[in-house]
Amino acid sequence: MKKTPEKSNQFYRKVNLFFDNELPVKEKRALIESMQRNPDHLALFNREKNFRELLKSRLQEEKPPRSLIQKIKNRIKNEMTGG
Amino acid sequence: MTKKSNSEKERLFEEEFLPLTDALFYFAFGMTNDRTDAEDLVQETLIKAFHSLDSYKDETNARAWLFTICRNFFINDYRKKKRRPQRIEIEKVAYKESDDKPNLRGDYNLIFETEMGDEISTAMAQLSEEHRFIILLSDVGEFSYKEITEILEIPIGTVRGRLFRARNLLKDLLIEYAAKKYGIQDKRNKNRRK
Repeated sequence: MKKTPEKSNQFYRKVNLFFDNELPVKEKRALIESMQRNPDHLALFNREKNFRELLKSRLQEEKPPRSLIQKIKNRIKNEMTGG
Repeated sequence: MTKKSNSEKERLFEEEFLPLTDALFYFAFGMTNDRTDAEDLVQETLIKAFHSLDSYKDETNARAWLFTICRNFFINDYRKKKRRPQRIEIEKVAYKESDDKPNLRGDYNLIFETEMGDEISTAMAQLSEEHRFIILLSDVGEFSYKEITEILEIPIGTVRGRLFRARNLLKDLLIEYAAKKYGIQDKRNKNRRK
C-alpha cells in the first residue's frame, strides 16, 4: 500500500494522543498493529517516545529548594497569628 | 461555601496541597525560566490556596484547582509586576498553517543526536505563553485533556490542536538549535518557519 503524507500525518496525530493517554483502547490496538506492519511508523513512534522522555526529564530538572515548604508553613503561621 | 476551622484547613493543606509543591515548582519554573521567580510564584500560589480553602470542596480535583490558581496568579500578578509584554499576539501574527504540519522526515533525530541541555529551556521561553502553558500542563502536570479544558477554560478540540501545534513548534526550535550548535545542515524547507 502506498504511503501518503496524509496517512502519516494521521498516524502521527494518533501517536500524540497515545502518549497523552487520550487514545481509545480500540485505536491503541490498531496503532500497535500498524507499527508491526510498517517500520516507518515504528520509527516515528520511537522518536516521539524519546522526545517526550527528554522533554519531561529536562522540564523537571530544576528542583525546588528544600526550605521552600518550611518557608510557606512559616508564612501561613505568621499570617494566622497576625505576626 | 462552608467555613472550615483552622485545624481542618491545616490538615487539608498538608495532605492535599503541600505534596504538590514539586510539580507546581516545575510548572512555575517552566513559566518564568527563573528560580527565584518560580519560588515566589509557588509560595504565593500555595498561600493563596490556603486562604481560599473555604471555597474548596472535598470532591474538587486538588491538582487542577492549584494549577489554576498558579496560572491566574502568573497572568494577573506576576506578569504585571515584571512588566513583561504578553507574547501571544506576536505569535498569532507569526503563526502559519504550516505549524500544524508535523516534521515527519526524521529531521528531529537531530534533537537526540546532539546534547540538548539548556536549549530546551531556551526553546520553551521562545514559545508564546499559551503554548508554554499547555506543554507544561500536559508534560509536567500530566493533566488529561479534560482537566486542561477546565484549567484553561478552552474547548477540548482547542486543547488537542494547541498542544499538537505547541510541540511541533518546540521541535522545530530544537532542530534549529541543534543544527546551529553542531553545524549540521538543517534539511527542512527554509520557508517553513519564516
